Amino acid sequence: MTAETLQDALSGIREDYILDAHGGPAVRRNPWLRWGALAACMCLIAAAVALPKLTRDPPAPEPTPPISDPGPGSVNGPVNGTDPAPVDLPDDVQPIFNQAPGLDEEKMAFCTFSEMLTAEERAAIIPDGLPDWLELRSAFALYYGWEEGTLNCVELSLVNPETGDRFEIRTCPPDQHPIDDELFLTPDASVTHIDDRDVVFFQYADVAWTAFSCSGVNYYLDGVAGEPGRTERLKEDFFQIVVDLIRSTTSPDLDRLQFHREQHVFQEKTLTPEEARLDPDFGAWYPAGEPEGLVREQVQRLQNSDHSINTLTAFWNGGYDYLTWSIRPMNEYDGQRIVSPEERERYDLTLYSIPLAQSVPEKYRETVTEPVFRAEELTEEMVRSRCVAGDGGEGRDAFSICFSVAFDNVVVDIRAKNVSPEWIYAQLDAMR
Amino acid sequence: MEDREIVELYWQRSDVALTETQQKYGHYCYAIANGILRSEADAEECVNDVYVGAWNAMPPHRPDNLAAFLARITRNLSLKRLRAMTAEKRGGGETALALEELGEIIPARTGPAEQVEARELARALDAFLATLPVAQRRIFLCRYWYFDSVADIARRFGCSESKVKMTCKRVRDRLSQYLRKEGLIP
Repeated sequence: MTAETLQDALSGIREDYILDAHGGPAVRRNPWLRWGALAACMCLIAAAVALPKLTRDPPAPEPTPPISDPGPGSVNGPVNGTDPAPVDLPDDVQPIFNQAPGLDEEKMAFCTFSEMLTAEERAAIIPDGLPDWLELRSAFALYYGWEEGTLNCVELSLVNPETGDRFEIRTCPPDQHPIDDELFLTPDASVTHIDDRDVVFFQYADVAWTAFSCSGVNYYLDGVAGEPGRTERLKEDFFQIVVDLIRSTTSPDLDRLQFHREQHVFQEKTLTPEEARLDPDFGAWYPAGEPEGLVREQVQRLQNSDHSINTLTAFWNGGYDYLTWSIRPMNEYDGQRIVSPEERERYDLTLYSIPLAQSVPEKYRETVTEPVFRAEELTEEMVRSRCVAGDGGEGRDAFSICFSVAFDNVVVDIRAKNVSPEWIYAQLDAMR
Repeated sequence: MEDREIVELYWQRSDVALTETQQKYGHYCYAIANGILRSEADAEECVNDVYVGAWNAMPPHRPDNLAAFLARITRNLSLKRLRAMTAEKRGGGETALALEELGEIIPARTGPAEQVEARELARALDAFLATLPVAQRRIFLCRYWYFDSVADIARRFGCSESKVKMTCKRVRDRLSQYLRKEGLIP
């Protein structure tokens, strides 16, 4: 057997294991479904972060996003479209579950929130300041909770610019992250005495880590070498950071951190078409008419306080046929996909044969897949050029349409099957 | 569109199957390919090959789970492309590291006499994976099926990179013992 045989054989493992490990693929058809899944996912992440002692195994992964990098074509972020994998349960024994202390309904119903620390908050966490040779890359406080945020830990990411070595210091309230015995895999590990404290240091490959209690908090530290194999310097610097923390003259004051609930408000409203048209941000781009032969399923406004989520989406359905009309602010990626009417090779599907994967040159693939038209340049012919003919099921002919239109700083995404391009154009034309 | 409807379109030799696959699973396949190849251009080319592969495979195949079916094709084609790239001294990085870690399980002295059918090995791997705690299995597969970086896995599972590395090491050791016990490696 060769290593390649083993690699190839792994491809053939059970399907449920494959999908379970990554949570399955994203589904893009019903965009609003993602937010419910995202909320559930956040709760799972919170459970993973906030209750590490309740399970001996590492915390369960978020069921979504399946893939951290959704690819260059994605503007929508992660979506979960797969049910949890079935579990094989033995039928000859019955489990007895113990009620874990502190595991009550209130704590289960939480989500996580992260907040960047202010300068004052950073000073409260590292009262003696950082050594000159370290650069602070980010400082976040992680909270969990439903209504009130409870501090779970503070994460400082640091780098030594000279070596590229990265360090992470997690400062945790003692009741949130008791020092995890599981971290210390070797029962007879050697102890380093630093003043009156015993600290156990570990190194594996290019990573060094430790955890210890000090000054009324629990510290978890990781160090990762900037270059593979350069671990001696990493260990020296890592040790120096630990000594500095232990010899710090002032204790971190976690009570000075403030949770800003207002930053995390998420609004999800189901609207009537009339309410949608009155939406102050996006109402002007809601279609005036209803697509023939389809039934309106939902009109939804999603928004959070930092505007990272901000959409008005309507969805019509009719068996195989559908229309998704989504309105949102323009982003950088939209700007890269804007095409002009004369650049037909960049968007006109009638120029290419199916399968598109074989006929569309690579340099045009992105815009041919998801072009963005400027509203002032849009013509009916351009909309028609986005129709891909095919089988619509049950022996019917059908066509799909996919494109976006930019109205200054607002973009309308249109994804449809068997919806008249003339009707779509008329709706967009009326908005100019 | 439901997966069974897409599969049906493949069986009807309808071009719509390809556009529906691209729309529903294009980004999923891209992410798997990019996770292995670490190159946008190569990943995009690979995903295009996946559509052709799916078109050629259905019929005769009628997969129960289209997502897993496409994921497998993507992984196989990406590994094939990676091997070609490695031969040309391109690529490497995170995936090469993961492959190297996985390769450590196989003793260097293994020869043709110990050749094992991939299918038999896959069955053994299924049996082995079934013995693992769920969280360990997920971490192991994120690393060696999807070739995620240790940092990404740590972020996904909310634990430290060191813990991910140790978990991978422990599972690799257990797999090595298991394969030896099953007589699949000497």
